[in-house]
Amino acid sequence: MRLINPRLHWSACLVAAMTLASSLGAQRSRLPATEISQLADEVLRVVAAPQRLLAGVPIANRELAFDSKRTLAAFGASTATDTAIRLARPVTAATQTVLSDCSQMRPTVCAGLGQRAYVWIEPISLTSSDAVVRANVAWVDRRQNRSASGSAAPAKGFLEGFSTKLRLVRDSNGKWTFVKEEGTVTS
Amino acid sequence: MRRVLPLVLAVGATLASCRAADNISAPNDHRIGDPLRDVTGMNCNMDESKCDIIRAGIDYLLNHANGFCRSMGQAALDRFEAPAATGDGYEEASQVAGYNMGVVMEPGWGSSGYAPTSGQVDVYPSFWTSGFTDAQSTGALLAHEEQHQNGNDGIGDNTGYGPAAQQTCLNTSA
Repeated sequence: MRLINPRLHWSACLVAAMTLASSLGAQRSRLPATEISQLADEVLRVVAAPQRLLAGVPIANRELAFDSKRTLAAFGASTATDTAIRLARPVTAATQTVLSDCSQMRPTVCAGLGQRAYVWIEPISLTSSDAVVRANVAWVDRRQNRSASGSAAPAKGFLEGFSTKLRLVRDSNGKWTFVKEEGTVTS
Repeated sequence: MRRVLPLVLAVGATLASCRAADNISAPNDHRIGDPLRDVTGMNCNMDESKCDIIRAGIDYLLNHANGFCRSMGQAALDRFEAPAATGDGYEEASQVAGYNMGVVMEPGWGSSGYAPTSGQVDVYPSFWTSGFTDAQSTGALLAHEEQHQNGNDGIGDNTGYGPAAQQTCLNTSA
């Protein structure tokens, strides 16, 4: 028993193929590391403003652990060196391994991340003049176990996070500028 | 040529998979977009075995010694059993970052300054491989997500209600 009209089915497939072709074409609009850096600075300005609170702690009082390697790979620049992204904002270098002992399901020490906020950016769509990116921010909320912890060891906590989609446009000077937020997932 | 070849191969593969799919049809095939469990009145758009895991987490909360956790269980049950038209429920979603579950939020009416954009809780693939799909862990996480759904905890977990609810309900005693 056929549930879909064959003509409709093939039309849908052709549209899917054309969309795929268009999407692959868009992915060829790769940015040089200098532009990724400027774009990342603009994204951090929006999602990681120093006064923004994460689990009650201003980001100014946490270090930003920025994952250049993951960000470069997401932008299709995985062959670039990790130091290719040069941010105006002071950050510490990090990779996903800082989250290896962290969990959203159970409180853990999450020693690799510590007090820092882990950040990486990925493109959702990208052309030479328009970008939609997702900024991912993760941290540990240790408030629940702080009083039970000894003075030396960090308190255990749940890994928390949010991911915000941002639209940016490139102006006539080649600078990426934030336009609007397009939804935030919180874990 | 090197730039065009992957494009040609990808488009060809898509069309080939469409051709293959064209040859497969059965009356009971699940079509993308069709709710899987609506026939039973439950708004859980996932495989039955996965819905059973969510439901076990809800049952854990409903039977918790702590009244707050029981109330979170009731809220989660209402979401699980909501009519599909409401948009409330549990939905399998494409992976975002490394999250196990999440709620889409926007600035709004909640006491946290944020509100959910819908009554939907997204369940990500990493949840199923987290090693914590037992009723206790699942139920505790559902209680956390309810704090986002009722607007008590926005992005940044600044009120602390989400993690506090999760911690409270993770404990099996009151």
